[in-house]
Amino acid sequence: MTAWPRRFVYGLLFCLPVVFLGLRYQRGEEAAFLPGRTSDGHHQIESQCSLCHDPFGGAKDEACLECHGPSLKARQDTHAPEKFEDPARSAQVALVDARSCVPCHREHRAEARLRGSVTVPTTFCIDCHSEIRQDSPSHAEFSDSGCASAGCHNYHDNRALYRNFLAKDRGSPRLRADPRVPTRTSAFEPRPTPEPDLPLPFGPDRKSRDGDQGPGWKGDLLTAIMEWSRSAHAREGVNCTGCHQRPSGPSGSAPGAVWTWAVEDTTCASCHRDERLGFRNGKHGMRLTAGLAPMSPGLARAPMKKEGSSRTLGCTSCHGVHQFDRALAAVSACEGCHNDEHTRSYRASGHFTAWLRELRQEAPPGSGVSCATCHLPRFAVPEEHARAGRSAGQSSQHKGIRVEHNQNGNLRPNDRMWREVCTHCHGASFSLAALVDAGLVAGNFHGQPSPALTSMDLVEKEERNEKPRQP
Amino acid sequence: MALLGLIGLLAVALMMGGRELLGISQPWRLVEWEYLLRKPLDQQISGFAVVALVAIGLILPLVRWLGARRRALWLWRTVHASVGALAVAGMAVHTGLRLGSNLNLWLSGAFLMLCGLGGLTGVGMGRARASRLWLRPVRLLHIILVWPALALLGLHVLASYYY
Repeated sequence: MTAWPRRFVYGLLFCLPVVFLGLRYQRGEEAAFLPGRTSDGHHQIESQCSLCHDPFGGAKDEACLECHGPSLKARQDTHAPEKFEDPARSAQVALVDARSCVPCHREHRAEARLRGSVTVPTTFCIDCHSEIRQDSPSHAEFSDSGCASAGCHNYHDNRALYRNFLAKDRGSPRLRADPRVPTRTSAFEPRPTPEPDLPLPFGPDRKSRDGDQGPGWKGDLLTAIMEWSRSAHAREGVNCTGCHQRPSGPSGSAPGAVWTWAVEDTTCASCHRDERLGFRNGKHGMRLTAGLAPMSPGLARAPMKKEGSSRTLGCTSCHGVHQFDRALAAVSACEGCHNDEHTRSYRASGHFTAWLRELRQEAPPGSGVSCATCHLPRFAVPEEHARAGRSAGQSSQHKGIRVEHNQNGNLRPNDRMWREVCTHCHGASFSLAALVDAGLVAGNFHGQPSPALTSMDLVEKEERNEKPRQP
Repeated sequence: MALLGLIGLLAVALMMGGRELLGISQPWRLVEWEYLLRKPLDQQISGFAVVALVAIGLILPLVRWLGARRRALWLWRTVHASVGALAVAGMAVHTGLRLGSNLNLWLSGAFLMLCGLGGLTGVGMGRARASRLWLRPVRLLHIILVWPALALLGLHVLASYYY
């Protein structure tokens, strides 16, 4: 080959990767630049690098805190960065720079990733808490790497293991006398339903037209109306136009309204604001928060059923299009997609039996345990947000009880669930032993926890060893 | 030259299968490798050391183009082969014996192929002229691979700072 053709080939080979990757970047397909497998928590949004990374600025703490900040604040972060700004802690900061997120949570480092997406050696607790062996004789024989990895301590939220909290519940029975979770109140923020100001685009015998109906709706209008008539929407006076009518122009710009067959999730959010917010904070809705297409089971890493893997997640994918049946959403909707051992074992569990008894009204409200009971836990809302008196039979100690729609908010580590959910029905010691038993968790708590040394045993041990205090 | 070529080939083989070997023979060492020189500053130092070695390696084609004498050419060939083997060792430290994903995987692949073909060329150079008919295409491929490898290396450095 003579010099010029040869140089042309060399130039072409040099330019090829540059042009190829440049075009990928320009189209927003930045996955080609991912340096390693993204963590399970972030893989859904991995193609949107700018969510976490600033050009030539790296990954900033602000980006982490935008999503995780409220949760850390609500859970009273045990190791908040401010604590490490104290110059007296400079020696500890030299060992583990706990003032920011990235030194301990380096993303795209699958090989070095531990529980909780931590990428520092498992002995990092002992670097600062080396005195623990002297102060707590019960911990004297534990390995340096066991603090967080054995399922006991949680760096950011150690509340589950507060000694006083554990000691208070010591000796509590396996099942409490009145095992019930708080009963939820209405999920509505009241909003007047608009009166139809245009003729409805259908008659009683008209079928829905293909292509312009809401997502997933295959029924005819009569079925839709029948389903709606049995729903909470009908009971609350939310009729067809409440969801299917939208303003003809931008808000406030033009009078009148137009009929729309497809109902966006934002329409649901106009009444169910908190639920929508929770949904978007969890793994089901985080892609929407990131401005990406909705999540679908086909994109998940967790085992999912093949059928319907392309369905997209939104309000109606779990709640249905017109029936809005909470019982359906609480179990069958989950089983429709999830295909892991824990989900498959649910119907053989005592929790499911309790759920059936509640549905048959053989047991009081709140005594059944569905998927949603644990994974979408109920939480009390301040009085000003509550719809006091709207729902009959609500517990008097809660002004308002809503459902947290961030379904993985209490999932990792699972001692969050222990404090927020399990202890409503079970004694602390029993539920803690159950949650550390991985086999029992996988089998959806069908059986009894294997005897294991739990934090409760350690509290007892500590108290036995403690010398009586001087008066 | 043949010995340096063999060392280069061995380094490439170790880089490609090192993690698996370590995982089988000394799995506890694998954990140490995860944290060894993987802090951002450490990685910048090891990364730029590899870039410097690549730059030194590129002096050989430059002196050839400038028409160096035979003795000088021999000297630069030795330097070229040595820095090639060293660059693979530097890559092992920089990556923790990983080949990476996506862009990094393409770069690792191109770079290891480049060094492997370079090692083969070195082995071929040490053999009698009659028994090295295969040398010409191997050397040509080695030279051709320099260009995409350089482009990918540049993109890797750019992406490291951009993200």
